[in-house]
Amino acid sequence: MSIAQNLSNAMVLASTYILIAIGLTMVYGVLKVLHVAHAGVYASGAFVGLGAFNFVRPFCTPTLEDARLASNLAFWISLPIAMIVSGVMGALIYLLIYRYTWGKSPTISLVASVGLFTLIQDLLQKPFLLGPRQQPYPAGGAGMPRIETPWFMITPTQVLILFVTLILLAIVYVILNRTRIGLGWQAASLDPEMAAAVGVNVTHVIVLNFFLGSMLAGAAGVLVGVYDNMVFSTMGDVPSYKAFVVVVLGGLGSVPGTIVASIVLAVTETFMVAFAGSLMPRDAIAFLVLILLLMFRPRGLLGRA
Amino acid sequence: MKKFAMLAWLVALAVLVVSCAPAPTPVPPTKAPEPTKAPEPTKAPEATKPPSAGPIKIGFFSPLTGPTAADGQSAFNSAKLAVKLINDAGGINGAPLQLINYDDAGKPDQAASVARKLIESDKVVAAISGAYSGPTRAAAPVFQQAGMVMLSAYAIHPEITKVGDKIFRIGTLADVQGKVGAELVAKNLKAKKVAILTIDNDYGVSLTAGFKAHALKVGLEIIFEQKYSFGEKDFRPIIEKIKAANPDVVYATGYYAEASTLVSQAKDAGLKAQIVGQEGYDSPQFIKLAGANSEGVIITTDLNRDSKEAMTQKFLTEYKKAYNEDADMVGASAFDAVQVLAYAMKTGGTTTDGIIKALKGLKDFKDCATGPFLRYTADRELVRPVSSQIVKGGAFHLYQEFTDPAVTTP
Amino acid sequence: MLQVENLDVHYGHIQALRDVSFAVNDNEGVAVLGANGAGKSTLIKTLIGWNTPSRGRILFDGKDITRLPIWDRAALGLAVVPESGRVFRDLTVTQNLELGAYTEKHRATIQQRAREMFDLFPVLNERKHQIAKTLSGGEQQMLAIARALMTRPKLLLIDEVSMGLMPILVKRVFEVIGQLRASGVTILLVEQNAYEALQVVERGYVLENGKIVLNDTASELTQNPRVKAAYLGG
Ligand SMILES: Nc1ncnc2c1ncn2[C@@H]1O[C@H](COP(=O)(O)OP(=O)(O)O)[C@@H](O)[C@H]1O
Ligand SMILES: [Mg+2]
Repeated sequence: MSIAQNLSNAMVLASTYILIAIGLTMVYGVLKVLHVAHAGVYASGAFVGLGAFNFVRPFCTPTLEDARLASNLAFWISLPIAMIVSGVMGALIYLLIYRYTWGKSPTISLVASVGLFTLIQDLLQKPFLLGPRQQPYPAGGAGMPRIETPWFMITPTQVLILFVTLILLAIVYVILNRTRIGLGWQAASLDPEMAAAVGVNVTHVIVLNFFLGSMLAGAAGVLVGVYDNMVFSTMGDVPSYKAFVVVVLGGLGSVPGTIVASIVLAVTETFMVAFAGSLMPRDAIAFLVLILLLMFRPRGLLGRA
Repeated sequence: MKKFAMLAWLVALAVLVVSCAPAPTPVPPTKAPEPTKAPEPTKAPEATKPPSAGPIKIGFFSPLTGPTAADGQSAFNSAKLAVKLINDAGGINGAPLQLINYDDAGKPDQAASVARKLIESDKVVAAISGAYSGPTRAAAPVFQQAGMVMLSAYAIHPEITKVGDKIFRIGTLADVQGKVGAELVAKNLKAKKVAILTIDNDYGVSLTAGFKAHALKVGLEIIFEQKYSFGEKDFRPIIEKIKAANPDVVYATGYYAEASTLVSQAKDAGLKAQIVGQEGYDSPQFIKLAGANSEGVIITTDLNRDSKEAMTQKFLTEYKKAYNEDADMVGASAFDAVQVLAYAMKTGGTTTDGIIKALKGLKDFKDCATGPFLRYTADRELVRPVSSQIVKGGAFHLYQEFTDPAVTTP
Repeated sequence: MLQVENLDVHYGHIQALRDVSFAVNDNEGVAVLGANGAGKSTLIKTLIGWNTPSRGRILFDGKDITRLPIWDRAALGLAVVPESGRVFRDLTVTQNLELGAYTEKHRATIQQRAREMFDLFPVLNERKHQIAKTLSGGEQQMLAIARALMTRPKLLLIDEVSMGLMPILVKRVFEVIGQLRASGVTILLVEQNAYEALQVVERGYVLENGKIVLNDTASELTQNPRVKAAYLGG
């Protein structure tokens, strides 16, 4: 009972890691930049989703007398809004910052990124945005069913997270592997100069890259906000470093590696907390896993040699 | 080269982690502020002097940024409210109070430097900590060495008042609150088997220590114990274990953010055990975030919203009027710290000795939101009744008041 | 077709090209010969836009492309086989070819071109679905050439295609280039291997320390004692 339940919980946790980390991996793959501000996009996505949710819900209520239905509808409207705003935000971060720091020393990009992350958090903490308090995001399961089996149970919100993650991964997979610009993206992440020489507009590809990755981060922000029923300005703090662990663990720049690493990390964390108890803080586990892996496999799980 | 790049990444990551992680255990307040040549706080004009005297400055610090900013803001708002009410009523024997406040960002080192600033540049007369236990522990020795009184509003770690004879507390000492928790679990809930969840910081560890000490005496069996980190968002693996252990009660220390997550995830997972918390849960935020999942949760706290005391009700209404939100325990404690300090200055004057003398003489003080305060012990802890509240119909209500001196005396 | 005027290129304060001027006419094969470090690769990189010149102009079909983004040059009909090929190592042979035709938007055309390439390089046909990095060095060079031909470029730039290949492969690669010339593809190739290069082009330049020091027809250059001494091993 407990092992199956822990596994299913871990898969949900892994889904949130995947959504956050894929954007980072994509950015690292093409730009070789440590995009710390990605965690700021994640928090902003949650903020925008919550704002849209709270804004739209009253309009849904009069038509749908059932409050639950109104809330579900409001959620499904808020999610794409948050994703699009996050995507645009990511694209702007590239166009306004990394485009100019790219090619200079990686430290410059890193410093710019950390600075931007702090700025985003400080802004979110302003009273006219999120304020210093946690805000609830009571979307529940957004109409998803509860799944009960004799071995484990998946709550509606967990079903929602798994469902949205699968759909988004499928969309990103198709874009990256079945479209012309996706092929250009793959080429650019292998060899941007050569990609440009065959006619790939690398600026477009990178903007797309930031848009897609940030969109996923925004979705992650919304889903985590709903899962924890809590949105707050510093919610990007932990993901800001944990997503890096995932990315390094997965082999810098490898999307499948990121997915595998997210699952490995979520499962390890869950079972360490479940069976090793208070041995060490949960977030230290991530680093322990990372260090152990790098000792035996320095290029990460699925990294390129 | 590749290896080096990897190393650089790790360093970058490490830096990130260090700078982002919420300051866990505080730096031991050993580093004495350089030979404290701190100018003896300029003696404010004797309070008994005519009203022509300038304002009396009191120092205040709380986290206004960082992950605990919401509490810091509540505390600061409430302290401001107290100062306003006092000044509207004529100040301290005619001299107005002036609150000088700084942000400690929830960080012990920042709290210590803020303390120095209050003493040396602002030349305050006395100070109030509106901060958590970690920062308060770091600031206390600075005030002690400068010979200045500091009141800890809601930081309840035992070490704070042990720093010295200038450090007093308003909130209920962690030991006492833990003890009351155990009393409640054994006597009121008539439970036998308890699971303990401890937030891994000064606050949680000291509460759990108090709880466990008393649990033995009242015959509770502790069948499960685990720690978790500040800001934890995923209690699910722990809840699975607690379910397997099947306790009657879960005594879980933490703040409202963790607590709302815990009770919600426990409800989701079908955990039946009664959850008992403490004042860290005591915020409208807890009920707002946990929603219906907060129903039935019982906590020990200092603020009894159903109290008939005039000042409690006045605080609750004035706070709501001023800030358009409901007050919490943190705010009530900061409010009371100002009230107690004002009382001490009114009766004893604004010198450190005068304030201490007045505090020691405090008897059955009712001009406060979380009172009545019976007296200070020799260890500068308040003897006061401890309340417990239950969430019912989306609000905190009185569950049981604990007045038995055997339990409530620090 | 291509006109280069007074090109200076610097790496930091190292000057790699000095006042380089030359031209390539329509349907012509031109070789730039030079020893290791003469600046041949720098020249190619500057033409496709990987390097930016500090002075001078590059005209392509009469249009100034000196500051044009790299990807727009590809769209104008410039294609490159860079030093050591630079195939997209983790992609399949077919994907590499598709990328070669990235500026071409019609799927049917791209597939048609790929079939042409497979006819031209049967060895690639056998390895269609193989990941590029698993090909041998010679096969990778073929793939790089095929990739460059996918757009039917107006001008094909080739940087030391023979470098690091076994002698029989060198022969094979130059055969292919000869065929391309015969079919009318305009080619600019830079080479150390002067003998092979001069077999497949009409004209040549000699580059020394970033400067053009000689300029003549291929047959004259083959006879030139200076070229013979320096590049033809005799
Ligand atoms: N990226 C670079 N940074 C600095 N110097 C370079 C760089 N690339 C080439 N050079 C220098 O420029 C000169 C020309 O190099 P290159 O064009 O590669 O010569 P070739 O291809 O003829 O062997 C050489 O002296 C080389 O050392
Ligand atoms: Mg070269």
